[in-house]
Amino acid sequence: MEIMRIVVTGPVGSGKSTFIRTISEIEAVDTDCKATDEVATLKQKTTVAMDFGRLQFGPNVALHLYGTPGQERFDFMWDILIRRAHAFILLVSSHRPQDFRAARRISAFMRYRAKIPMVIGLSHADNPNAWPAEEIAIALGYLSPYGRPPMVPINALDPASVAAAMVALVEAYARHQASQLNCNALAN
Amino acid sequence: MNTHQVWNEYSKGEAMKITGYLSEFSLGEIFRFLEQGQKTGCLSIKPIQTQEDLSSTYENQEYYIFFRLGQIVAASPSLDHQGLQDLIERRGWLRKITIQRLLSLCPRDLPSGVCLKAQGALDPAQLQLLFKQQVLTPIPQLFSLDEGWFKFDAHHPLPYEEMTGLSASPMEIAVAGLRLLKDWTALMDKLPLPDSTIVSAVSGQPPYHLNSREWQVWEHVNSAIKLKDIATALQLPVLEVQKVCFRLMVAGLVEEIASIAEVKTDNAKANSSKSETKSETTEISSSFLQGVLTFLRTTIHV
Repeated sequence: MEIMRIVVTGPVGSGKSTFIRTISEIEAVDTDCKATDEVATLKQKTTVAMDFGRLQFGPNVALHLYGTPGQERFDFMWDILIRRAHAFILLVSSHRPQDFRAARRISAFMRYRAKIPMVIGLSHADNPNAWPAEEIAIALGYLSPYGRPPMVPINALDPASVAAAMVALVEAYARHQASQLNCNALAN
Repeated sequence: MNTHQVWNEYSKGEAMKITGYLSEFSLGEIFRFLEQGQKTGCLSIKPIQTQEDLSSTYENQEYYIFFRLGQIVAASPSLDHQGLQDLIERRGWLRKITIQRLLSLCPRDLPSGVCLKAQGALDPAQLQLLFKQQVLTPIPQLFSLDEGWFKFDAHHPLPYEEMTGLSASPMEIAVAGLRLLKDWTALMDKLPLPDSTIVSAVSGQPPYHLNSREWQVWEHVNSAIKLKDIATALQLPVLEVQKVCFRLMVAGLVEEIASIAEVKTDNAKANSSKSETKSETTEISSSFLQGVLTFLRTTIHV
């Protein structure tokens, strides 16, 4: 069985669980619990361990999706998830600038620790208070368009939109793998 | 529709709108954003609550800061374009009627300060004083605001009448403002976490002047030491180190990296690294990638 493992990450309330439920062919396994802290002001339930979804598109081939816990105190899960991940998508709510700090922290962590291909998925881009994608990129620390990860609009409730984001991510992974192979070939 | 098309369609609908509350996105972060993004336009800040120690000049009043290519070129409590002329007249250097007569001799897109200097009406030292009074003195006070609404208008024309021709780095001003800040209540949830580490975001030494405490913390950049451990080493409260790191972050000098406990597996134990998680993935075959792309693209078109 060949499996590609994708991590879906982002600040609390960015739509990670919804994203996985929307694309998963199985009933997504979630570990949502009633939120009792400041998260409760944002949503009734929050993920405490991880979400899991699967997309099998052939007899021996499948995509596995893992959602990171939204609460940083459950952060030991992160190490487990990213250790085996091939690529990840960072979800950011375009209309919540207060989330950009957390998104930047996650993004910096992944850039520094994981070094795997990524895509930034921007939700709520049609909200009147949404920041433009270019400005969000700068707020997340990607100052130059060069070397910036692909950024795609996301509606986590819409299967076509989620699939389009996954296409962008798989394409990013394919480019990354090709460049790695080229580097290895040159080294040899 | 491929990914590139999706992005292009998305980009077309964008309107330049940068707004929010200072409690969500602090002034220091806004300044860093505008400088690093090399933005041109007008940042307006409307206080929602006032503080007793805030100068009465700025209470409940919008304040406007003008940027050109990421640098602050002017600031004013109003948009009537009279601020600089008022300052000059108040200092007794020139009367308004004289200023206006001199300005009428210069192109409209020339900063007033440059025009007046070119005609010998003001000297460089006077322009420095005016710029300091206009920009460097009031802006740090804005950092004391408990709450405010900010809006950045990238289409606002440059106010040449308010400009001395001098400019200042917003990140340097932000750091200066944060050094003076006594009440950090509004910024507490924006500080880097005690368990985080910091890495340098610049190559070599910092391009700005750091004070001694900032230098002490800077010495621990890239050392993979948590902020709380830096505090112990420096015999400082953790909160003090968090504040210093926040200033360094606002100055664009460091990036916070969340420190996450590694779970040691047998493979990981053999190849553990302090800074980079050892990947345990295998390569994905090209036939897999082709297959998944075909499948996902079908989903998009269903």
